[in-house]
Amino acid sequence: MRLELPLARVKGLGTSGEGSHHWWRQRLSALVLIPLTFWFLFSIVDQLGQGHYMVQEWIADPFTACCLILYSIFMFYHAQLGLQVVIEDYVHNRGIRLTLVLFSRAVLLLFGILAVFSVLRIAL
Amino acid sequence: MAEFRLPKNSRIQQGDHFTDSTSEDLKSVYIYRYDPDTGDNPRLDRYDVDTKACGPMVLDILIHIKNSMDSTLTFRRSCREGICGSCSMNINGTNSLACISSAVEAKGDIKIYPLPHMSVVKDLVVDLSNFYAQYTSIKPWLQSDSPSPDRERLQSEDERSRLDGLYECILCACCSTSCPSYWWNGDRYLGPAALLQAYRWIADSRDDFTGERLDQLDDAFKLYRCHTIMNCTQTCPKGLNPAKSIAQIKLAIQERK
Amino acid sequence: MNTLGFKMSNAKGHAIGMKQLGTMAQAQILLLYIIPKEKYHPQFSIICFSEFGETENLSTRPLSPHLQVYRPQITSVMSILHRITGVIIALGAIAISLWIESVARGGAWYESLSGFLVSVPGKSLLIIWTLCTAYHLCNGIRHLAWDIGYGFEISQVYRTGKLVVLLAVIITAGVWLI
Repeated sequence: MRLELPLARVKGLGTSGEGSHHWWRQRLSALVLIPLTFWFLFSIVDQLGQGHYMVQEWIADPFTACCLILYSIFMFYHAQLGLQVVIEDYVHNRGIRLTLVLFSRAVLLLFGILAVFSVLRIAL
Repeated sequence: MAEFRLPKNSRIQQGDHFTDSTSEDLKSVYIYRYDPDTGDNPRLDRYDVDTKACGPMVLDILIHIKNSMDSTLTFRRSCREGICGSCSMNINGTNSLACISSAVEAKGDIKIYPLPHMSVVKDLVVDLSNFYAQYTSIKPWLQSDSPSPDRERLQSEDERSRLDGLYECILCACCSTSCPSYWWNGDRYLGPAALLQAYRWIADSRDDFTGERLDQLDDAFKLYRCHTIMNCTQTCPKGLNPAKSIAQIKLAIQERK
Repeated sequence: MNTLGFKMSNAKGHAIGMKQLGTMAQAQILLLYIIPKEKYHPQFSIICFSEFGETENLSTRPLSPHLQVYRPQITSVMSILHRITGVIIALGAIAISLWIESVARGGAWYESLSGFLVSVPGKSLLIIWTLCTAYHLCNGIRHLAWDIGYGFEISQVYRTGKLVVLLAVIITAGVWLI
């Protein structure tokens, strides 16, 4: 039974002071991703199904390598921020929510590093 | 997990059928009913209403039903002209005030439910205590440390005009209960109505607690559960723009960094 | 409702009659003796008098229908699509990083992966991914405009919404046909 009055429930533990930071980083990463995504969409299609050597050449090009690294970093960062919001929206159990947020962060970090490392490996 | 289906005790069953025997020109109105005294599941009653016997608005139909067909029907109403915010409900899939929603212009049947994802007290009456507490929590009054003037606190025309589109809110809760984010996190997210009011005081030139008000809102749940879905602006029966006010709060928080 | 004109209920929200009221009143008086006066709080009332019983236990009340009755409209549908496409793109990003890794590794792993990408199922997935990316990109720009305070009139919301869908299709077609 819950006899706590509504105002006490609404005020809860108070204000975290963190929401705006997350929001701002999500918008900034989105802004950076606009040109990168256009570039990626229009250049990746030509590479699919190409011979191994040709693709290696493409990635090793300094401009491509830089763009790909930037794209990977911001893409995974933006994805992590977004997924966190989705999880927080729907998962109400604090323990499960934290576990899922940390798990998604770890998975995305892993694949982000994999992408960046692979590009460096090809280009260098 | 957010529950997307209705809990077992809330699933709607088929209800009774009432007919105005006086006329052949009938309009079918389906209304959500819940009786706390029996504790049975809610049901959807059908009323075939003689539209010539009542006024043009949805509220007129409800009053006609209560007066001459089924006196047990329960709903809130007061001013019947869209200024008190009592008769807010879900009419044909969107939230609005029954008193300013035209029943004549509605094609086909009319379906009326209580405001969405709320605890139902009886029929179309929902428990708004959480909603009101959220409103209270943003301190909807003028706060000032400046010494009280001998006369009114003055505002220029320009300063006053910033409150247009904000002060008109009648707290009917249509916007908050139209917001999916409020549905899933209504216990922590303040919702569009309370945030529009928060902005009304942030924008007020006579209030010198703007910083404190922004401090109080900088929270992943209280404010930033707003994902600009825009259902609130779409549904506001007063034509206000809660989504825009929320965006302006977010900008103000960013501006002071 | 009773002769007092109130609906009476216990703290659990169950309606009580005049007989029960007598017993509960005795219990309430007992409570007043046990709890020191300065610590007494309205919450300790075991009898609730209220017009509609708004402070009663919430759990017995039904939840009003939401997704079940709320009409889908451009505002909410485009919003949930933004979210769904976002999740799909995140999954796609994992696939992209695997593909880059396969280029770095070379050999049979690269051959099988690029073989899949040019096959019909592979290509269909790529086209879906392109469409999702294009939609999320365009709608994202729409969101950024909102974030700086533009485009909040409902007529604008609908116009930009339709434009986003159109542009997403055009970009997808452009990517795959040029």
